[in-house]
Amino acid sequence: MVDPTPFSVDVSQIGPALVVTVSGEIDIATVPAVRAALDGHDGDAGVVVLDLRRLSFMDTSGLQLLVEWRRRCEGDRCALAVVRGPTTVQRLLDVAGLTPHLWIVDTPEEAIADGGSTAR
Amino acid sequence: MAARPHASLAPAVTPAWVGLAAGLLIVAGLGALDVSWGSRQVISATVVIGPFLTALLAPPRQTAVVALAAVAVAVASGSWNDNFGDAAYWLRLAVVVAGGGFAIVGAQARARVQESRRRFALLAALSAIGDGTETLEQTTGLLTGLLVPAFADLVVVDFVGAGEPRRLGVRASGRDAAEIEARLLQQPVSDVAVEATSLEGGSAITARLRARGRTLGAMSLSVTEESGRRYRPQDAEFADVLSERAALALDNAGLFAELETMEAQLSAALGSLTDAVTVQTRQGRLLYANDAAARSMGFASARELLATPPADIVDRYETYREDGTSLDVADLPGRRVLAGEAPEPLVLRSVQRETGHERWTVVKATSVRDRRGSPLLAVNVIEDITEAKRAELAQRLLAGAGELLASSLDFERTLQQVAELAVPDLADWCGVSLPDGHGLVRQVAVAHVDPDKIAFARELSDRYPTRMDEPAGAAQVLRDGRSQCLNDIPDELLRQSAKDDEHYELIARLGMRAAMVVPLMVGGTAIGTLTLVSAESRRVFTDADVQVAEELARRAGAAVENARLYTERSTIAATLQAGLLPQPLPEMPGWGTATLYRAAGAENWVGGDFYDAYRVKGGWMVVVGDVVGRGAPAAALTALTRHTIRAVAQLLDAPLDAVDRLNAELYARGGGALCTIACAVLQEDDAGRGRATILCAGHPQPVLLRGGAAEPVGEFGPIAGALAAPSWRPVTVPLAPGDTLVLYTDGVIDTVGDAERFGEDRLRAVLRGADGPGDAVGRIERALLAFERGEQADDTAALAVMRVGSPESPVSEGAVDRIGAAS
Repeated sequence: MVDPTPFSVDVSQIGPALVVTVSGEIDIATVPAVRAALDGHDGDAGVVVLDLRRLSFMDTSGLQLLVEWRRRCEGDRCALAVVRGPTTVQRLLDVAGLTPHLWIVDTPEEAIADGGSTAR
Repeated sequence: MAARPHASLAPAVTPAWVGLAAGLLIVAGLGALDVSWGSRQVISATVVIGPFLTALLAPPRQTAVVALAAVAVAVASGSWNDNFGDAAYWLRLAVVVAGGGFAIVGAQARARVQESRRRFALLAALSAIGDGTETLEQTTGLLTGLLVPAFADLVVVDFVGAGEPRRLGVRASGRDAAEIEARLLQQPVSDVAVEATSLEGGSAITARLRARGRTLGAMSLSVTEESGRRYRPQDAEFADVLSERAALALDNAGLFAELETMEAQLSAALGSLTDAVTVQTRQGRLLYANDAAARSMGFASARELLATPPADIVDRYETYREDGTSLDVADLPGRRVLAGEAPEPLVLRSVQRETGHERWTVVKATSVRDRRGSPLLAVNVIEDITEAKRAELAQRLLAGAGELLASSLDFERTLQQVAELAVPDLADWCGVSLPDGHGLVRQVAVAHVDPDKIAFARELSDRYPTRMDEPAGAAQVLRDGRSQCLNDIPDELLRQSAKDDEHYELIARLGMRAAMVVPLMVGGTAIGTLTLVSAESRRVFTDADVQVAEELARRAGAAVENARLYTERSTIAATLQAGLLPQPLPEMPGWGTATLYRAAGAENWVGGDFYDAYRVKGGWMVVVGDVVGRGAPAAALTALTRHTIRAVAQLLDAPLDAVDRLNAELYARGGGALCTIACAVLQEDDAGRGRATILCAGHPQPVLLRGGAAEPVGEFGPIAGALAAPSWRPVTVPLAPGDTLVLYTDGVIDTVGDAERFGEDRLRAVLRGADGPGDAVGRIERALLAFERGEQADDTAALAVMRVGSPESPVSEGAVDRIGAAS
């Protein structure tokens, strides 16, 4: 297969922020695990960080997840931050026309420090 | 309780008086003949025949009497033969005296032979008793029965076992036998100490009973005046031998009696056990059974059970091994233990023929051995595991059903497997029926213990299907959702439920004993029935069986429902896909097209890729889209997407506004409904020049093939369904004849190869220099086939459209040239 990086999802709670780091690929097969990790967020005000730096590939399933969470945070008073991934992943966000509509940061710390004010 | 032996040991001899009378008659007759002939013919010596005859038939005493009579006749014969004192007279007398003497000696010898033969037989018979399986009392009875009257007229056996001395048995002969026996039995036993066997005045012998170095008691043997017998010293010697044998037999029985005492103590303990315990002899007779054993075999008491012949007990049941094969009596652990084997505990299923009740038992057997080590008794412990077995069966059935549900979505196959699960553990045959929607209930699955009967069961159900409006049976269960269980089905019921004589004959041939019909419940509604029949096994169904069947039916119901939903889904998906994708594009004057579609994965993984082309105001619109997701929801969304765009685009003056409408539609459905779209409106101006206005909504840019080059065109815009109010910026490019626009879905560039994905760069390289739309999609397909490794996760769709030229315009000539130049 293309990707030597095995798929994994790491979840950490840093203060009020939930940081979900995904390695490998997000596609139709792996997206449920990422969705489950994000669902660990208690829905309270806070920052949800999806770290895509270790991602090697994402397809429209990942887009669907981002769109879903973007809309969810609008209702839940939380902020979704996406840590910029490699070019191929960013290319997908560009293709999908979502780059201008997402709060994209370079590191999780950036999002945590900001506390979501940028997104709101 | 003391069993008397059937035949007297005394050999069947002619009574003594017969010999006596015969002898005397001969003597008298010959004497009379001699008298009548007088001196003419002298036969007086022939009277000696009398004693000889008597010697052959009677004891010595009678022979002696006849001999004396013969001598007397011989003496007296001188008077009628007129030969007193002469030589012939003396000679004849001497012959008669000597002959009489010989006869007496002969009779004595014969009596001795007879006596010893009788005594030998007596000893042999004594040895045969007391093999340890009889009680002390039984053995005593047999013993005294042998001795009286063969050797004594009265026998008294006193015994000192573990406790006080007691009178074990009395046997008398003669007229007052019963009275004497009763009196002597009442008499207290004071002392049984006997030093040695002794003869008391010729009428009684007291013998010591001693075996294995232990004094067991004493045996008194007496002869009465009535019989006229007397004991001689040699009789005392014989009595000594007799008493040794008798003592051995009694000792064996005594050991058994100890066992019996133990049994008496154990009996209370065993009696309170819930496990059934039986003890059987080598002959197969039941020696002991506790109440649990009696109850479990359907007897009121242990006594009643013990009184029943073993064969009758066996015949009450149909017995099977755990694997369902029938069991031979010889293979029962008790029998095998008695045959000297050490069998493993045996799990048995038995069905009582009369009641049809089914029981599961574990039978364990151990042996009680005699001194030589050969098995004497078998002790059987029979544990009732019916409950546990039922629970296990239920669990296994249900677990099995669960697995089936998880493993298959083909519900007819699943139901067949459910039916097979129930056979033979729960029933002899099992059928599943579902309403066919036309007023009939159809059997969709059937399993039978005998595979040959499956065809028969099918035929029966096909020829006589159940009608939904029938008052009873499966139709009723379907209506009210309540299980029915019928045991011991009477013949009248079969006649009533049969539709005609032939139907009756067919169902009678099934030999049903019991039947259950339980509903396949789904959400409180019966959607079918599970029918379980007991025939060959002759068992009846219990409430627990009905429960297991209901549980099984619930699972089967879920299987049907799951499968139905799945079938519907996959049918819908397949229908949608079939409707969506492989349709050829319409003829588009002035434009040439070619398409590619490759589905990924299995049926239930229908992707959301599609393409379409149709006429819109001012031209044509070509669309390639990819609905995010898989399976039926994606297929449904694809249908919605495709038809929304098509319908709206055909209505609006600005066809591309259809994407706006689509976005609103998808956005309204929530976060999950997304679709990437690339579309192009193909138009030609009044001068016949072609152009394409391209819009990308979250979709890879189309590639424009022009002059051997391949470049992406269009501007990225938001994916449809993601944002509340997005906007797109359509890009218009002129299309000269031969210019080809290739629209494709991400399945193309995401195709997985050896080391990486296909990617946009590789796509453009492949498309460079493509000669028209057919060549363009052909190149893509070949490149993907060569590149891809493994099963692809995503569909692939591509649509290529080439500007041929205005149908009315001669420019098309030039286009052909230019295409030629481009390639």
